[in-house]
Amino acid sequence: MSDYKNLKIGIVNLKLNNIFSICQLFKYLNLKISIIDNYTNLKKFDLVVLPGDGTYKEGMKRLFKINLASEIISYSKIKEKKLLGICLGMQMLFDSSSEFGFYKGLGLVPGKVDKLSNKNSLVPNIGWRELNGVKKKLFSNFNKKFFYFSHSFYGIPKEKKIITSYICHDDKKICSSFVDNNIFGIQFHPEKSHMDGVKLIKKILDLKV
Amino acid sequence: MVPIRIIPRLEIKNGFLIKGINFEGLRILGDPSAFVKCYFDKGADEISYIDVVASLYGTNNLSKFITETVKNIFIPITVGGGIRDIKAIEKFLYSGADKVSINSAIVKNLSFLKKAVKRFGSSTINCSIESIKFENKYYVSTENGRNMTSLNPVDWFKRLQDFGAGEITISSINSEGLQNGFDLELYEKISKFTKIPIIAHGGAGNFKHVYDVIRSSNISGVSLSSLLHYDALNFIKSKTKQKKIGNYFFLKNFQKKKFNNNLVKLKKFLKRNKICVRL
Repeated sequence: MSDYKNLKIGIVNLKLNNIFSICQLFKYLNLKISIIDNYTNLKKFDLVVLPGDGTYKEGMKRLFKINLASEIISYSKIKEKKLLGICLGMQMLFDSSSEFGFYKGLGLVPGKVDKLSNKNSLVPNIGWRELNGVKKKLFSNFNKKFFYFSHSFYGIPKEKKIITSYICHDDKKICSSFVDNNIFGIQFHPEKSHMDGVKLIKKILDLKV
Repeated sequence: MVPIRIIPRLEIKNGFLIKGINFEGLRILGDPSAFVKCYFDKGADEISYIDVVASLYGTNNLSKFITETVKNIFIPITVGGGIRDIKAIEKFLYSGADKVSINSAIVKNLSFLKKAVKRFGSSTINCSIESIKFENKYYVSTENGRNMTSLNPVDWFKRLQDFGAGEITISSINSEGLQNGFDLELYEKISKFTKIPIIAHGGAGNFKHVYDVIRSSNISGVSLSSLLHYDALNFIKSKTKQKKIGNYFFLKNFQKKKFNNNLVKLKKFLKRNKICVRL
């Protein structure tokens, strides 16, 4: 029996994204969640979720506006605390993005964010894609499983070894998830990926970091 | 391979799921939540939720229905009808939508699209084109097919794409609800120019119709209502309270088992015919 039910979850609300859907997933797992839309001391949480659709510039601007950027950075340095970035939230964990200009990210994971190419594939990449080449226990059940994606940009981690799955886009391998110690990045939407998304979140909650 | 998205489309009026023919002649089918749950269980790739009178009357009380309807539904929800400002988009994303679908407000003012994309990103913004064919020419319409404009759907599509639309749902008002097949010419013409996902809507009466539109054009998904709703009624005990308003004739006289076209069967049919689907 897992003891994740007692975990304290904080969900950052940048007012850009489908915040209701994210909360719903955690409520479905009977977890108590707090929505963070102002400066908050994050140390009381066990898992902080940085979700997001929306643009990089807006996302970062809002993080700074509510003074949460440096708080997230210091939170992530606490070894036993988990930080989960979803979609734009995952991209903001990197150093920088080229979305509508050049913008600095949180710099928690070395790497950058670039626009998807549209030679043979459509952009935005919207729809269900199969995860390939899954690594690490956390993702091992999800090889060749479909998850829901909705994005025009993607993260490129500098350290390839942290990548835990990829999808194919324009004949290229695009990083769809990574695990860097206590920091989890997911490009797809677990809250919109039927029951496999729910299972994945459960695994992240169960994992000892 | 990228799987084709099969998207049940729920058209809502006063909180009820309804079904029209050529966007008019509405009949009541019941409580939308029951249908959404049914489609989620059967493996729908997404749900599209449209308030058909919101734009006309300039109101949208859809958000409270969405919140009730999408509880424990873990697939994307696109909401449309009467969205005309950034605040409305924010409200819907807060109430359970993952994407919004906009038509009339963008036809009136294209810069609204640009603003929305800048804030929420392309992938959150679905533009809807309601195409009407009149004397062999295509026109863009608004207010759920009530007002015809002088815009041509192909040119309009290119403009929406240039202005950052994330995906575009193209409805053929002439085919809608008749179940005689999609307007293949329309989708072929438009999808030639596409760099973004297109969803085809209007006219599916059987599995072959769905197959034909996927094969003949470069679309990413199909939006279905009649084809799925009538079958779903077999599984749904209508909790709809009978009210004096609205057309209940269809629902009262509905014969179970007459319709037998469910989502799972459709996806299996497509897969047998070498179309990539998520099963």
